[in-house]
Amino acid sequence: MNVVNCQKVSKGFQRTNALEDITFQLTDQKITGLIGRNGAGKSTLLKILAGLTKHKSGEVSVFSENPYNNLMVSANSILVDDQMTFPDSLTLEEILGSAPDFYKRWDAQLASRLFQYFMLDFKQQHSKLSKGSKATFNMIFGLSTRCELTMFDEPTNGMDEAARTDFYRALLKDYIAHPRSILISSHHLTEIEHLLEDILLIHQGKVVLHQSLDEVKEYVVAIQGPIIDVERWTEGQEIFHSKNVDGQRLYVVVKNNSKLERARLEGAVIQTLPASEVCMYMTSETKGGIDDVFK
Amino acid sequence: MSNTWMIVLIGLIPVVLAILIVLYITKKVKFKGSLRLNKLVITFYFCILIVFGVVYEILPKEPMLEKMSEEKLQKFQSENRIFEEKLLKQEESILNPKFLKEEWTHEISGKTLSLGYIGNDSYSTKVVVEWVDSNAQKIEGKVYRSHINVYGLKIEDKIPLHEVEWVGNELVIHEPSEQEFTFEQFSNELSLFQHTDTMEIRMVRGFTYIHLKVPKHMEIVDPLGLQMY
Amino acid sequence: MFLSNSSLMSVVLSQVRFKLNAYSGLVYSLIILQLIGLLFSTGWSSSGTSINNISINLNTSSIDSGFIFVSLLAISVGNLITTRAYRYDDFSFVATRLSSNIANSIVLLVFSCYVGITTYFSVYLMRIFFTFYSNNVFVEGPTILDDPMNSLLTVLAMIIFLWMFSSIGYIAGTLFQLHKLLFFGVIVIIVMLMMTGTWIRISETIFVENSSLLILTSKIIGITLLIFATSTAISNCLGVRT
Repeated sequence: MNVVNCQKVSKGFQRTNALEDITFQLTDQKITGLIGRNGAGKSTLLKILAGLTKHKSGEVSVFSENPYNNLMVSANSILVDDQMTFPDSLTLEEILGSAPDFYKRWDAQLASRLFQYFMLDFKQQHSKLSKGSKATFNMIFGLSTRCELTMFDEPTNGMDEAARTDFYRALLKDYIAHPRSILISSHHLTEIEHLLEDILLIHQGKVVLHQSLDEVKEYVVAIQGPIIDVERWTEGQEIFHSKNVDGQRLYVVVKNNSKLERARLEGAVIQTLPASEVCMYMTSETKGGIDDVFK
Repeated sequence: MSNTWMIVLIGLIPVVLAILIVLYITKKVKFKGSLRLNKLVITFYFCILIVFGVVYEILPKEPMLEKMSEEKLQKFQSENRIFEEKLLKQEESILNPKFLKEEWTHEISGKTLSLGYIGNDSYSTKVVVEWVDSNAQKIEGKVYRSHINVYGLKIEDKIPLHEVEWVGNELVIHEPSEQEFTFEQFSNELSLFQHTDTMEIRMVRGFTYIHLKVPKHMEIVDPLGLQMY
Repeated sequence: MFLSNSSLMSVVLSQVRFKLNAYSGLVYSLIILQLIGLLFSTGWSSSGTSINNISINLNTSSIDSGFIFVSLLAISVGNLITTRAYRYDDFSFVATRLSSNIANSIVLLVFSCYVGITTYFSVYLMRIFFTFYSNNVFVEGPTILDDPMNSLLTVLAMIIFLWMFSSIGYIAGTLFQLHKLLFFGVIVIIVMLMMTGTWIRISETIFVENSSLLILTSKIIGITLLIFATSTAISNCLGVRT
């Protein structure tokens, strides 16, 4: 059974479509990164998967069922984002205490230990937490539910460096001990690259690619060399990025293909890029960079 | 139509006032007690109110004014009616003895007897005259008062009798001086739900009757029309 | 992959437990309002007449004023739990819109029971106070023990009416969340309907022509359930955290 199966899903707000023709599947228990720029539609997709909003057209199934208004899906999935709210009249301690009633696989020990590690205050109210503490608490909550489908929407927003590192480590350790399907959306692909098994790249509401991390790394390469040569080598190919270096050399990012073998033999400098840069180039609008603004 | 609307509007003012108070309270009361405190307050409040209820019932209270049931009131009314009928027919013997308040004889000089009333409500007193064969100057009188009951409250004892006195040849009936009684009552019911009038008989109006046995040769002057025929 | 399966009923119960804890702070507003209602409760209905130049006044204290206050509270609480903050809270845990609405209606029922019973007994505070401090003569009245059925029915009717009022606040809030313009449109339509004669006749048949309190109560229960069902249907269109 697929954990998640989307077929041609679209979701719109008035004139624009936040999501269009989204088709992908999540199978098995993996950590998948949902990558995309601001406004690409990541949060919308996650909310649809969590059953918080309805999609406009297409088919969405989580655990083989429509997630909207679905008890089974709600009991086995959780979306952690910065809009997660808890009642104001309950302290953090009481919130954690209410959870086992709902989530049958709740790990109270883990929650309590993480809570103490991050030095949160038991008697505090959720709305009074600082942005970073709130993110930390939400993250602890999400992890402790041990839901079969755990989704994080930019969970580290507001967390400091140390907390972020700790969070990723905690996530990884708990995932290894208790495997589940995890979907993390983040801007900071560099930070979470080491966690991810798969990447789902979204741009302007459409799926750009959905592949394993290794495949994504080899998806494009960067070629650097004299301008004329580079232009010859990359003729007719899909160019994602092109930059003039020192006036004599050209730095071009192209899709990986067999023709580049010849370029290498001719002395081209070909590098693979980290996944974060791959994604960045693949979702950029222009061929140039920010430097062009300041020319 | 405008009249009813005016009344509706005036009636709405307290409701609007209540709404404003409620809104103010719900907005202002942000006392965020801890969960344990809240639960404590909830149970404590509940128990203490029930305790108060029980305590009130058990508490020895000052003697309270009795309230008559509907049947008793109806009985009173019929007794009053029967009494008046019988009195008019002058069947003295069958009259209810508890209505008799005063009994006297009086001698007047002369042939004219006048009736006077001091007060606002002369309809409360009725004089029934029985003419007797007698040459004497004696007039026999009996003063009765039938049941008086207001709102079912047993207040008969509290309402003073009309004073009857002879001023020369005039029989003067004094109304009791003005008094005001206020009673408090608690109701366990909501008036919203009581659509049927719980009390059909709101007041049992008793009258003061003066039964005079007057010799035939006398005359009665009755400017206020106190006599009943 | 082990998927836990929860029944609707168990989720609703979990939600009810959770909400009762979360909303427990409302008791303070309740207490204050009941006390205020008590202050207004005496001498509200007063009858007076005079006989033989003696005027008799009868002051009746009843629970009516307290009831009006807590009815307004019920409406406002019903409305409160439909606001965004409260609605979103459910979805941080396990919930569907159906389970949330059912849980809300149950919570409002529990709330109405508590409010109804406490309001009914709150008058005893006043009575005890008066018994000690007032110089007026009191009229004996039926105690709870004299007529337990009637007292029970009164409390029951109060509870059900409070539940209905809270449901009105609830559906108003839900409708407002859905579409503010629609909400005002509905208000206008209702107000206009109220002016017409048919509405008056309908409300008469519902509210006035009841041979017993029990029948009135059942009617109100029916109306309340209808209102909650409609709210559920409306809330199905509402997104969360959008």
